Amino acid sequence: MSRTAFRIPAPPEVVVAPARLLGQVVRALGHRFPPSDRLFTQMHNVGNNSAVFISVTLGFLGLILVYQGCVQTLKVLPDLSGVGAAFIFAMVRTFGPTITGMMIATRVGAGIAAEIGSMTVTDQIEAMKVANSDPVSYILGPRFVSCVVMTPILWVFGTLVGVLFGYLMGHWRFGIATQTFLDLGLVSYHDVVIGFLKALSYGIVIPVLAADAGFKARGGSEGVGWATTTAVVNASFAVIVLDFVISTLSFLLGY
Amino acid sequence: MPGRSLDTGPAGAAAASRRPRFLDAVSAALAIAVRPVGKGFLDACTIVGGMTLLQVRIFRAMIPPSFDYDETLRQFEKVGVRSLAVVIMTSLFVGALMLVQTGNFVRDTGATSMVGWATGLTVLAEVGPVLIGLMFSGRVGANNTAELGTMTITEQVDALRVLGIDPVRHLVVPRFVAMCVMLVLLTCIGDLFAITGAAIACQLIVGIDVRVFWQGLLEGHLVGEFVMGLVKGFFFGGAISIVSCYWGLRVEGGAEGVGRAVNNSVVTSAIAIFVVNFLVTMLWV
Amino acid sequence: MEAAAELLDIRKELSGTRVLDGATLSLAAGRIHALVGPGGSGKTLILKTLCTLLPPDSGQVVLFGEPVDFLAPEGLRRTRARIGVQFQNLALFDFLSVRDNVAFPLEADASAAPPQDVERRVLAILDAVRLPGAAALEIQSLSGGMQRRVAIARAAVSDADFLVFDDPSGGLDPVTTSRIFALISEIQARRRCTVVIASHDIDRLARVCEDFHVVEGGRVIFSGTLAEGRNHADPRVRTFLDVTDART
Repeated sequence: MSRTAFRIPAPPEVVVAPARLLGQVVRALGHRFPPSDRLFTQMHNVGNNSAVFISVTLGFLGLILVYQGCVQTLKVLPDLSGVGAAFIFAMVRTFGPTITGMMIATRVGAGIAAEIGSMTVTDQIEAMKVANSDPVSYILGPRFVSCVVMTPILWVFGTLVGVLFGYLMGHWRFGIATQTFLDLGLVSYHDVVIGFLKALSYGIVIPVLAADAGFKARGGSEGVGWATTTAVVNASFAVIVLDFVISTLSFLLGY
Repeated sequence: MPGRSLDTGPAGAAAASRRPRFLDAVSAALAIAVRPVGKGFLDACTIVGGMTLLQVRIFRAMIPPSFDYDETLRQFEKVGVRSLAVVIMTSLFVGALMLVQTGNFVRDTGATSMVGWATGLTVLAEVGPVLIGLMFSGRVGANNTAELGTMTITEQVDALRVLGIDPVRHLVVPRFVAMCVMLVLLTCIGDLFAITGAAIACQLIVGIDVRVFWQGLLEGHLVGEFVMGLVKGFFFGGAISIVSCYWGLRVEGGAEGVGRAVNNSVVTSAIAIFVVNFLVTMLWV
Repeated sequence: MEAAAELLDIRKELSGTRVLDGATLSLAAGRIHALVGPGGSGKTLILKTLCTLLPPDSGQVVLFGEPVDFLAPEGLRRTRARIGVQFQNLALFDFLSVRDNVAFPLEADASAAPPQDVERRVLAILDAVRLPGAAALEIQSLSGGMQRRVAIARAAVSDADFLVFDDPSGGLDPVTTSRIFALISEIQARRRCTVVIASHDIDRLARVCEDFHVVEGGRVIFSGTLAEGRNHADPRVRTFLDVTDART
């Protein structure tokens, strides 16, 4: 079992284990929904505590995308009127959900893996089992629900922040008029639905992959470090792959 | 308080006793509203200051170069081997993804010659380096924090200090050098695979002949963008190494502390990547 | 005498190493058992197998007269409801208060106690471990000895028939250690339950335990009273049970 080299994990192991965990958590939630106080604590952690982080990253992303877009467009034609519409289209459909998803994989995924990992290596998970409490339901349940609910909300939030900062760049640096820039002409219902579907799928996959890594932690602090690292890499990679799959399907279906 | 009531008489005394209570309420409310902001600001200052100091100490160890060369070579191997697979996989998907996104535009406008240039630009200049940097930070940066964190809580770092070995020269500088150099090389390899992924997606998914893609890419004259991507890789590597070493060396308290440190490390690295990306593009273009 | 817990020829491999190699053990009901052996001999793994947390590769675990089926969740649930465990590294939930930690086994398993009983029993067991008034405190604010006592309270709060203590005195000063062993024997005397303690402290084990089991290399090499062990043919058993050797 090598922890140093990243191996492309064999499909059974890396897909089956999280899939089984997903089944378990969905069944556990149907059986017993987490109480609202623990749910709100987790939602606050996933949503509110990520807001600043997502504002900073998506804000800088918006700034730079518009800057590049304007500079490159100016090389070919002196007309910047199309930049805003194209930028908003790309934000809603791709960059908004995916960069938000990667940021949630980084912050929330690492957090879940670190928490569950340190509970695993200190036997707290076993203590739960022997007390006849299901750790999947008790620990993962509220985190899973919060991620599923908060990721789409953060997608909306992150996209708005990105567009806002992009607009500031376009308006002040390149003098694009407000109405010209904030042009929703290229955004159709399909794009919003696809963006939402992406965000939702990230919200489902990130907590499950992170928890899977956390439950597998072995040994002391090294195990927790391993779990956290694995969670970030697997969840970020899953975000990219899911983005690719959903984009390709939607392209092939003509949306 | 008594002095004031003497000055203003009985009526003023009543007002004065009322006013402080009102002011207390205002200041309490302000404290609740402002304290998190102030605390967040001070924490951010501590972190940025600590990282700057670490950077200064790294530079002092490098000019003139006096650090552990063997450890540096080991880090080169570790950093590169550890992240090559994940960078290749990420790049393939990112390239394909960007092409499919461009495909949406092309289908609406019919400008197939745009495909190569637009994809090449986004992949080489912006999205490629950033996503490779993020994956690199998850893979190598997080691992580095966990490793140094474990060394810190098991007092191995203190043991080095007792032996008169400077942890910065022995542990931090080799990682700094290895990550800076390796992320440039990895970005280079990643660019190659991203273009490959884009070419495959172009032919198989979007259905545009791959030769159109190549032509657009080559006529785009993207050498400047490619070099800018590598420069970004260099700075991302430096930022990730400083951030991950900083968090690793100040871990406190058991396994839990290591988990928290890794979490902080990847979050700070992500912020650093986006900020550095912004600065490099603004200064370059 | 009837056995509360039995292991029959348990074998287990963890990441390629054989950690339990044909362990066979029988714990008579209603007595205090001591599990001793050098570090890394498999004491903790035997205890984890006994409390159904470590499914063996081969062999059988018999608890309360019934073989344990690790694949039947309902049966496992019923068995676990009769077991209380204090883990080697305590495994206290650091996100819960002392009260919530101790009440956890009762609240997680609704059949363990009716809800109106929970409060009374938590206060009673906290009294018993000499921690009255600690209910509202956070786990991190407690000293090591207090944390151990909270863990013991959590293990004993439900009416478990079988209590497992893994190193209840680890890293504690001699005075606190004596207190903790007295506490365990007090709990056992009141309930007449079966108790197994893993520890290195032969001195104090000799005062509270009736049966001794020596573990070495993933198997149980001796079971019997202390006097029998000290006259045993195997020198490993003798050294390990010898009070003067082990203490000085």
